[in-house]
Amino acid sequence: MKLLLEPSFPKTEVSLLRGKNWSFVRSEAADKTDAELIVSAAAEGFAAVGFVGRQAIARPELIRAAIDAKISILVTETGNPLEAIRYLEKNLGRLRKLLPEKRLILLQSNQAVELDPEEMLEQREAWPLFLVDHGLCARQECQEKATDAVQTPKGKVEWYCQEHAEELRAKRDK
Amino acid sequence: MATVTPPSPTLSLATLSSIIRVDRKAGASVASTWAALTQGLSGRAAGQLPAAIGGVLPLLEADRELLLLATDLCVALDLFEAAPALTSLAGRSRNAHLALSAASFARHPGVSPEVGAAILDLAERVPLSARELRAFNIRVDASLTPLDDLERDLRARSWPGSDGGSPFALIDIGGAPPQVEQALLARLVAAQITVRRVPGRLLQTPDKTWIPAKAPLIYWDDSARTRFRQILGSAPSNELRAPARVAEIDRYLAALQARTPGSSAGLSPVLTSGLHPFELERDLMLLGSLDFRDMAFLGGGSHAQLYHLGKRQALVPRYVGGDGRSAFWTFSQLIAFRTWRYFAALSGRARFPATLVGKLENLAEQTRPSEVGLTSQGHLLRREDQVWVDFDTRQQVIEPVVVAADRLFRPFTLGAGNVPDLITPSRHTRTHPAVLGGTPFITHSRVSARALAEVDRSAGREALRDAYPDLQDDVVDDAVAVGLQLLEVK
Repeated sequence: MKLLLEPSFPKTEVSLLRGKNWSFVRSEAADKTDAELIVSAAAEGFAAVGFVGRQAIARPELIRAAIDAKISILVTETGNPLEAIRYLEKNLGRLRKLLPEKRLILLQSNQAVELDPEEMLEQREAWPLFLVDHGLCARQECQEKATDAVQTPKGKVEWYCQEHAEELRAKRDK
Repeated sequence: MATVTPPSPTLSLATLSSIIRVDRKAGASVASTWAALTQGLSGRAAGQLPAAIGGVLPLLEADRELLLLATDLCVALDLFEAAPALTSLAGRSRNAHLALSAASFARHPGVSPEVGAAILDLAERVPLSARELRAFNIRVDASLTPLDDLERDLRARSWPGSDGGSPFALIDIGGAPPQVEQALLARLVAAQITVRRVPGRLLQTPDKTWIPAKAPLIYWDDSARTRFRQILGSAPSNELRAPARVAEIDRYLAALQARTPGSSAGLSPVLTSGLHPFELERDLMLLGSLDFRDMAFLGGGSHAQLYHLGKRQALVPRYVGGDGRSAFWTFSQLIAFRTWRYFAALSGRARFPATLVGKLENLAEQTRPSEVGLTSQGHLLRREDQVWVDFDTRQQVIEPVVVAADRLFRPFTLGAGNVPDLITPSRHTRTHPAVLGGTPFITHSRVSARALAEVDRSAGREALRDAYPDLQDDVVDDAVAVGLQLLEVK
């Protein structure tokens, strides 16, 4: 199975990636838009295009392009390319089961989660935005507003300020 | 001057009648007023219309709104024939708005030196605030250095041939069929091209900034080319014979727009300023997925401001999950947010109305380009046919505009820090709504500045260089600096 990784993935790390019956290519298409990258990758026989970070799942035009071109989009929960490579490496077994059918896959540190493309395509009004006031950060001593939800290792979702949410995710994902 | 015979009483009456019939509730624009004035005129009457408008100005003195509409019409369409009447009325009424309007004609080659001197005298005769005096002087003196964005905008509109000036065209009206000239004028002004009407006989020698060599020259009479060669000292670099009939104007405009400095088909110069190599078309504006760090960094705001705008539904992001929850905004929302922050910075107000952001987002997503401005009272304005109108009421606005947002893509200073250039945040990075969701990336590489900064922060510069051996050191340094600023956004 062939994966195309966008150029934000580190060149050296990608060249060292190995997996049985896997082929990894770091894109050199410097001047392509993301949608062009996806469509051309499909034409070249790639099963998926990988992006560092989650921003691609917030872009309806990319999801539509992937659905139309019958190719998958991989996004990583982390925005750090070195971590993203590790997430990918760890989840190759799970990815083999999800690809090539599933169109939208989120790579986390210890799992690959299938996302519903239709849900991602919903109108922005349908999303529960900042409309709910989550009060203060769940960290007892913190007086900042809670803006970011974090799933704890026990599965409970709690709301934190951005700084503490990131701290918790980093600890959880170690 | 082009018109030597005074307008007939019948024409003056018809002109006055057209002006007083303007539907003020509908928000009269220059184009619609001009269309009403020119409708059904014979060639002879059309040629006398500019002077007729000047003639009726004193009759409008009791109706301030109509008077200002008529004077704005004179300025927007460069009706220099009305300048003597306008100057006389400004001096007599000691009205600052009229004096500022008259100042636009002080250096006009169609205005006699005597009238030009009378216009300059208005600065002494009419009570002007310090700000108005600066506005007056910028209109009459191209060499005056603007002190702030408002003055820069005014200078760009008053002296389109200067650096950063608006798109403009010179129209040599010698030998022009009046009806064709007037129809062409209306279309040019509607396309936000500043027009300079040059008469067949020059009464003042024009300044090079007033009549720059690079301006497209529209002419009917071949003698115009010789005359301009004498004025400029060389042949005009960009000349285009004018259409002979009104029916030919559409096709003619398409050719002209391609040759007009600063003009881009269908897009306001506001939106195209500094955007090369891509044009920020509406479809692109709707793309992008910028998270709060991108928004705060590129928009010149903070996480808290985005939170409050979202909570008040003034700027509502798309919210996507996985097991975490993240908000993402489009590029048009970024521009709305950046505009809002820009206005807030310029107004100096600590609390700035959040409702403006939603309006700005609507403007950014419309198919029709809009130049936007703001009054000192915080009212959002849009520019229609060279006239500022209130966004909500569509009424023409006469109070001073705080800023015309033609610098939204360029860096501006805000509070504690600087806001980067929107399209090229640094020497080696740029943004594009269709690439990486709009976050800054290294030019011609698609590597995001933020990704590099993440690696730099977690593993150090050596590891970063090892991971991206194809990137030059100075490029990495530049991109990491941008990425670290992004990551440090609070």
